[in-house]
Amino acid sequence: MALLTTTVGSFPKPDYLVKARAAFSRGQLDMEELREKEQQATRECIALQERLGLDILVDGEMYRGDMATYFAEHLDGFRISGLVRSYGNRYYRKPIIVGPVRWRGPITVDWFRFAQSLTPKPMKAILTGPYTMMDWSFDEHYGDRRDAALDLARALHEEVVALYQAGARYIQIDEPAISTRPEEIELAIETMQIMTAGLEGCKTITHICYGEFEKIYPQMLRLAVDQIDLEMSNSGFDMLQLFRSHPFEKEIGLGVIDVHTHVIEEVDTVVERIEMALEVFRPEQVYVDPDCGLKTRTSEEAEAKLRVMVEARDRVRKKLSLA
Amino acid sequence: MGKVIPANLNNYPRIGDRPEQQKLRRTIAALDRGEASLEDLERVQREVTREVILEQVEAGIQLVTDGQIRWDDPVTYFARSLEGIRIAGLVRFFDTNTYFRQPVVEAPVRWQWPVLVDDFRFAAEASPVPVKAVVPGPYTLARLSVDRYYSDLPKLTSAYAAAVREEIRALMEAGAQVIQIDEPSLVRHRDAVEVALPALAGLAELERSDSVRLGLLTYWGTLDQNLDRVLELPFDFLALDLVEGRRDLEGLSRWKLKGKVFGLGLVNGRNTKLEDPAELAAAVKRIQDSCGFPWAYLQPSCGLEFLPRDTARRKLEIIAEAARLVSE
Ligand SMILES: [Zn+2]
Repeated sequence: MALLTTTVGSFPKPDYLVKARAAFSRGQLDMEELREKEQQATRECIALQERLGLDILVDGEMYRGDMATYFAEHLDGFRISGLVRSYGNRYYRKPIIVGPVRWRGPITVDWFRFAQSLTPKPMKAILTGPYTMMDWSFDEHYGDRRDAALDLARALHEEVVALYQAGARYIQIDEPAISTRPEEIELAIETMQIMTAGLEGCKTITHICYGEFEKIYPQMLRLAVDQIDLEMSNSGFDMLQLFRSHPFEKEIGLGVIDVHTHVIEEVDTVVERIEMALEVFRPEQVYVDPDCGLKTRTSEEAEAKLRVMVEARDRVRKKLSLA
Repeated sequence: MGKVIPANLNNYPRIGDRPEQQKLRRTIAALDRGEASLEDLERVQREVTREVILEQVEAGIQLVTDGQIRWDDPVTYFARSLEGIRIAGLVRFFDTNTYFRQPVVEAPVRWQWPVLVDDFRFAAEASPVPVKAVVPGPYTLARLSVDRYYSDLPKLTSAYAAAVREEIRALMEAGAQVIQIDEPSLVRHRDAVEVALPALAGLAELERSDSVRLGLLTYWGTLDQNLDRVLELPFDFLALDLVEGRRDLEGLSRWKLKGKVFGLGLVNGRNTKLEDPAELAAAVKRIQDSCGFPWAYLQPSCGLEFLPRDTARRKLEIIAEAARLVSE
């Protein structure tokens, strides 16, 4: 099967869940009631993905807030900071490393099992990677970026193993921070080696957000994963030029939908993007997905964008007479 | 022993974790929903500015800023007022997890009206201690812009410098006595000094009264081999990040007893770990021994907005305490 479709991980949270989360944080809703809403939203999210005809599904991350803070809350050695501004009127809480980072038990495994039980299609398990966790945390304990990242990798690897034992055969490790500090690519490679060790018969993937790719290519091909998922449409497909000069030997998660705009792409535009990529990649190498998580879009926008994506993929398959 | 003045750097967290510290966030959200007016926003921005100034003073800071409460990011608050500039999409601000909107240069860059003067006047009136005015540097503005007009970094830098010069003049006219030009890009690019020096020299040579201190700030890196050339510029002080730019300390000693005034960014502005005031005071004394400055500012290594409000305040208290210990 060539040109399988998937998504990067997060989906928009429905209004009732946003409200429930707010009520929970004010102490007006208990954990069980919140959990129920999260499960309902997860069910709806998976039903949507099936309806759209996506090939590899995700749980939609309905139970996660910030991608780094969520994991920090469930690991030993972390405290969560007060509010810090990210942009405009947006604030978030940042993890603080206050002691040795250790895995204290499964974090996302129950959610993986729950999500997989709702569909016969393969469910992709997704974690925030150790390099990004380190880069996005305050460090009061290690005083050394490498030491912190390596301990995080060892802790999160236990989560990876637990997911694998629970049946996950697609495991994605999100490392959006990799492309923001090209000088630390070797550290990211070292931590990824730890993360994906010993996963026989499991497809390993890393998602990297847009950044200075020209500075980390081709080194990033040494990341110990089968597939690298990139924001291609946001970068105007400039990276294809890089891939021509040095072949991209891994599978590619091909971001063909811009998640930063309200505008719904034309099917033709997305067909073009896929065809451009096929000048450089073999069809079996390519997984079609949006640039990044969809959580900042509205539910309607996310659905419309994914519908366009699947239709574009179908058209390309037909044109090339691919199965 | 030279005098050490505890100072804030530029920005400061505009909200905190207590509900009464969140009115700016609430007001902007209400404005977006159409439930508050621009007058409401104006009033709250003034209140919060006054609060963060008083918070700095209470922490023991003797040179405060307005906290840049109105600044969306370090670039656009100034850049959007210039002729020739359009403000585009969000881009990551250096290696942080924060963003700025990118200026796109589409026509000649021209200064039109003072942007920071009203803010300075308001802050100066609200503060019992001197207020520092902060302007973005021309080289950083040029580096963070998309240049569709000049297609030439030195030319764009000098165009921005002309605009910054007008702003500084207006601030001096309004009575600003301490003015700082923020140039984080200066430590990010090897050729920075070649490109930025002519523009910065023009600013450093600006005519000013003896009571005005016009200085340059860099952060998140080291000047290294460029340090001497930057120190040759006739600015009244050079403020450095001595946490991430620790390496520059050695170079400073070459300027011992040459009357150079430094801003010592020794308190980490982007880590919550709290410094020990006694160790900090000892570090200042070591620098005093090796660099022999007539006086210096003791301050955060970068803007405090990267920290939660309560931690930012603690950092200022530590700076004030260390400055006290140094003078004992
Ligand atoms: Zn991304």
